[in-house]
Formats: sequence, structure tokens, C-alpha cells
Amino acid sequence: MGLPLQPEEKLEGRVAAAMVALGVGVLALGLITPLGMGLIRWGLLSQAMVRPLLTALAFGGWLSTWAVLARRWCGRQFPARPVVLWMALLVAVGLLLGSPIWVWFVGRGPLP
Amino acid sequence: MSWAAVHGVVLGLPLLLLTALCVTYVGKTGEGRPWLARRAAARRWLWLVLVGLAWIVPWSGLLLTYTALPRWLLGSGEWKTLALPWMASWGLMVPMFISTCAYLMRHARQRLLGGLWSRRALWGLMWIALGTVLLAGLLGSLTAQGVFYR
Repeated sequence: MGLPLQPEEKLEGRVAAAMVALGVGVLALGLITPLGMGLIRWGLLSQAMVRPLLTALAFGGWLSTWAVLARRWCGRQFPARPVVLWMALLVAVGLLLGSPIWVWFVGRGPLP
Repeated sequence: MSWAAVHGVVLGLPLLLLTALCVTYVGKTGEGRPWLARRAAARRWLWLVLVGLAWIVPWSGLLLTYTALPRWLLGSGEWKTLALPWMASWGLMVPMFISTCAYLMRHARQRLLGGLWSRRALWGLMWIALGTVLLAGLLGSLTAQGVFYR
């Protein structure tokens, strides 16, 4: 006789949207320093402009991702485990990119 | 006291304390603690003030960094240390984490978020929020003392 199967945990669509959007937003904020360094090095943006501009874009990306996904996923159910794990992965990568750790490996340029 | 120090004491410290309080409120299981769960009005205000501070503190901090630091005022506009981009990146993640946690907590109270994975997510996010507030506060207070640009 086998053990009874646990029902798979589900997340409501708007909750899943909030989690995925958070991952996207944190990743976007984490990308500011490496991307900004590149933009300054290639002379595409002035050093004083890079961080305010990319920060505004990251926040815009986060809020619009949240709004679009919440609208599209409203009323749907998603398995909780992959949503939470994807969010955790995106958040972890965003935190790593936002920290100075990676600069020790790739070298330092002008900081945004 | 400098503007940066006033910013840290008047806005940063309450944010830190409220975030720590909300971490204890969420608890290890992702459920509200009974002592606060019974006080609906206090709970609502706590989250409202926390979300407000989470938005105000990093943005005003960034504004202060750009307008008050001697490097910027001198017109060189260059950050000499990796600590400042680190503070700016992680500090501005605070409103994202806390707004999402407040949203998830609202769903948790309405019993729409009850499973193990979603509770883990909420608990983990609150701890990361506290960590980013602590780190940004530490780097911000060092910046206010001029450690990074002397």
C-alpha cells in the first residue's frame, strides 16, 4: 500500500505575478552596476546619468512586469514550487550582480 | 549633524526597526504572530508605514548621495569605492522586497497564501529585506561619516 499523494501546492495568478516580477526587478537593479560600467566605458552615457536612468528603467520594468503578469495571470493557478524557485534564482543573481563580488573577477572600470 | 546623519536617524532607523518587527511578525512559518494578529488596526498601520518608509528612505538617500557628497558637488561625479554602487543597488531593492512582502502578507491574511512554499517565500523575502536594509544602513552611515570619499 503506497503513501497517499500530497496535492501539489498552487499559487493564485496574482501572487505568482508578484513573485516573478520581484525577481525581474531585483535582477534589473543588480544589472545596473555591470551594465552601467559598460555604458560608461563605451561612451554611450555620461557617468552622472547612468545610475538615475537605469534605476528608473529597473523600477519601470518591475512595476510594468507586475501589472502585465497580474492582468494576464488573474484567475489562473500555478504550481508554487517552480514559481518560488524561479523567484529565488532571479533574486540571488540580482543580489550577486549588485554586490561588488563580480568586480574582483572581471576588473574595475568607471563606476556608475 | 549633517543631512545624511539626520536622514539615517529620522528615516533609516525607523525603517530598520519596523522591518525587524515585521520579520518577527511573519515568523518562521510565514504566519502572523498572535500578539499582532489580534490587533488589526495596528497591523494595518505597521505595514502601511513600513511600505511608505521603504519607498521614501532609499530614494531620498540616493538624492542625498547625489546632492550632498563632495565628489558630486565638485563635479567629478565619480564614485571612488565599490561600496557606494553596492549601497545604491541593494538599497533600492528594499522597496521592491517590502512592497511584495506587504502584498503577499495581505494574501496570507485572506487565506489565499497558505502552502509551505509560499510561506517559505514570504519568510525568506522578509529576511532578505532586513538584510538589505541593514547593509544599506551600514554603508549609508559610513558614507555620512565621509569614510568612502575622504
